[in-house]
Amino acid sequence: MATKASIITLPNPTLRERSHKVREVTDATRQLVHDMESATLDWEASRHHELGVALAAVQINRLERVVVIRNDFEDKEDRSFLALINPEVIQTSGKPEYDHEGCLSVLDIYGLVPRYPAVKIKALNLNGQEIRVKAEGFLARVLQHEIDHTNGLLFVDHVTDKNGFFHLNEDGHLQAIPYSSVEASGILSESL
Amino acid sequence: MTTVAPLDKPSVVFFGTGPVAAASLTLLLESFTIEAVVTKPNPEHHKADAPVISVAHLHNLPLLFAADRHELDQLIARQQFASRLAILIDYGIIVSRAIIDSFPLGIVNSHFSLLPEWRGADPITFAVLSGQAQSGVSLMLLVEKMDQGPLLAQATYPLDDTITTPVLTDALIQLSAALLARTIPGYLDGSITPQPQPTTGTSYSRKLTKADGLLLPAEKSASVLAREVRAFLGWPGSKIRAFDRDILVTEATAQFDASTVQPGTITASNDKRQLIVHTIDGQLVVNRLKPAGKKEMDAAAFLRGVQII
Repeated sequence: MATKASIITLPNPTLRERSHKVREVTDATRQLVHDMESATLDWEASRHHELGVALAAVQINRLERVVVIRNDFEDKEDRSFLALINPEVIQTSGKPEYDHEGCLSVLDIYGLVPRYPAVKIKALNLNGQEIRVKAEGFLARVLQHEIDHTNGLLFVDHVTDKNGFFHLNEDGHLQAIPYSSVEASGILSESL
Repeated sequence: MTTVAPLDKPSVVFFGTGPVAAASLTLLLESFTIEAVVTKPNPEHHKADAPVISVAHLHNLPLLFAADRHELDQLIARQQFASRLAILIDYGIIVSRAIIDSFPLGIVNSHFSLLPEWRGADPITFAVLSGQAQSGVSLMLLVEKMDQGPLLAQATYPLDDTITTPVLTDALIQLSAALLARTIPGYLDGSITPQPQPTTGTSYSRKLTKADGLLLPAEKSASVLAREVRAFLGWPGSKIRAFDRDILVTEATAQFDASTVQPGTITASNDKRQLIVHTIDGQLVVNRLKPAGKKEMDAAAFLRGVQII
């Protein structure tokens, strides 16, 4: 069973690799999804002020295009997820908007990230059937973040402002952190 | 992806009954988890819910009712609250020592003056009446002696010569909710400790009576009367008889022109746009008023409708 120890974090180079397409949804895929869910929940149980809202397979060191997304983003008690296999963005709309994002693979650092306010995606569900999802707001942001993972991209790669990095302090508040310390942490692929 | 969880809101029990309590409760919901609302039951023969009861229903807050001190003691003795403290605003029942002690951190009262100024039942009206340059809100731990508890925090609010009791009340409700939101977490974690009230500067307010609402220009100065109009707006109002009609003065200013007119006399201004109430030292210039049984209007509109001899 996967636990929070299964989650890999930057600067692990695997996170920057593209994941492979799932050729067929099988029991092995369903087992992977189950592992991803339990890793996310186990991680969340160890965090005071954070919710694990989604995970991509690469984050437990499996280079497969699979993501899981929490059904309720606010309620820790709701432990159910939506699984998407081979998800891809087929349409974006609106002008990118900035908001804070964090990642289970980027410990304690949050960033201001521009994302499209609305997207359409297609994917396979756990029965191998094609589904389409129209999302806006925070769900649209989560989908873009996770699909990025399947392409080897992380939120830190989208932060455009040196003042756009934050540390989550013990009280659960975000505090701006100096860019030099972000650079020193080795999580950036290139400097701004 | 991760997201920052909403911060845990401190849990409190809320004691409150009147309109100020209802407005405060609505604002406090942003910063606190309200475990229960303790309030007076709806008065008999009242069909509509009292404002606190409506707010509690709207937000699905558990309601507990006590009509007086005795019922309250019985009610609280039966309850086991998880909250370590309670907030009391505009409640209308004096709570006993036992009830204060049933909360490990006591009961925090938001009092709408800078204590020890204007202890007692009507601090807002008395602050407006005094003509002072500032008032504010004090967070105090309830003790048995009225309004003498130690202070957790105070916030000031500037007053000018247009401030009225309803306007100041609304402003202090907002100020109080903001002060509670930023003070209570510190009191819960021990970083804010209660400090005794200053021993000087004590003053007392009292409940107003209908008799306070009579304007007495033959006895008082124009500036005192102008402050009364602003302080008593809403209730009990500032009543006087002008041109054979009972009116409530709702907006007026003081003026000190030399005059030989007998104090207590009421005339119209030369342009017929204002009522002039002659006082012992000047004039109360009335801009707006409410004739008995009619809507509020400009003095000019009132004067058009009366025969000025």
